[in-house]
Amino acid sequence: MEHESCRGGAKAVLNLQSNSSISIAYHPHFGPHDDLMLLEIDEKLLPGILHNRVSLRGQSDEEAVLCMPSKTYAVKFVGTSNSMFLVPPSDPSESSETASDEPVVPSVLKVALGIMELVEVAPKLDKLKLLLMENPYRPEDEMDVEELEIEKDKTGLFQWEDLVDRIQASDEELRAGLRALSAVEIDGYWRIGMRSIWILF
Amino acid sequence: MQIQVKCGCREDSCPEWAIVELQGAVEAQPSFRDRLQNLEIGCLCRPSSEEKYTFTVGYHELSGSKVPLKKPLLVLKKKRAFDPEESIDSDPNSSRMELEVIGIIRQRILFKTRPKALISKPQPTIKEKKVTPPVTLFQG
Repeated sequence: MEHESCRGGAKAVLNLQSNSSISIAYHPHFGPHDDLMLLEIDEKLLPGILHNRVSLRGQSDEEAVLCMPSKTYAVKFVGTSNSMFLVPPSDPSESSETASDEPVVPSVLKVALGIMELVEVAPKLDKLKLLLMENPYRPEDEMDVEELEIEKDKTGLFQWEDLVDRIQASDEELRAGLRALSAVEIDGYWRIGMRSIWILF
Repeated sequence: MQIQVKCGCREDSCPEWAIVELQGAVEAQPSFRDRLQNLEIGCLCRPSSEEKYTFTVGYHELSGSKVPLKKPLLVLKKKRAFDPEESIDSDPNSSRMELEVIGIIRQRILFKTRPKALISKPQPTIKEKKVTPPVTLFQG
């Protein structure tokens, strides 16, 4: 880790021995550190996160949603009037050099204003319907393109990655949504046919 | 857009951070406010073998205990991901943002009782003759 942990001391705080005391100071790099945030997570979701299977999805005008491979969670910031002093861990390389020479002074890097909580939500798939209806598949269009060699108009066409960028749902839920709409991947784009649209009403 | 949450650490080796939590705010004297770095906040004591602690800030002594969190907290850091495939003239603002897990918190030392005033008690940690300590407790 970089500079933040060069004088952390979390262990010194958590392992404080009986009948002893320790000074706590502001970290040499104490500051707002707006790039640091706390996320409350269920123990059972921990492996998924630690194995890189999680992402935040949504557009900037939507509330952020956290997606595990098969579940979607709304992310809510919960503020606190308490002062939460964050003490980083000590840099392991530094502590091996100084060892018992210098006592570690636990340092507060940041005072957190709150934490982010997760609330399980249903995937937001209404948008998927609207997006795929923008440019429904018509076999006649394909024949025109082939015969007249017209450049295919790609507006309203979405590949898997485009859908992931726009739809707040986990991968599995998104796939289930596509199946429910009888959508098919044609030339890398997800399409619904004109007749399928009637089923949606 | 999609922001990946990455973790470079393995499950059992995620660095553990600590939280010391108290009610109200800690304030520094005006002359210290711009240079808080390295300033002492207070003294954390564990008087016995129990998980009970006191935290002395300025003239106040708080009592609390070390408690496990109901649910662990992950410390996430926002980062701009460097994409080697991006061309030189692509918009720098369009580089992907990532969230990296840089730590985990499972316990905190929580102080939730009313502070005890120590006005008449001599302060052995103050070496110079100061009327007010640089950092004091403020409960609004």
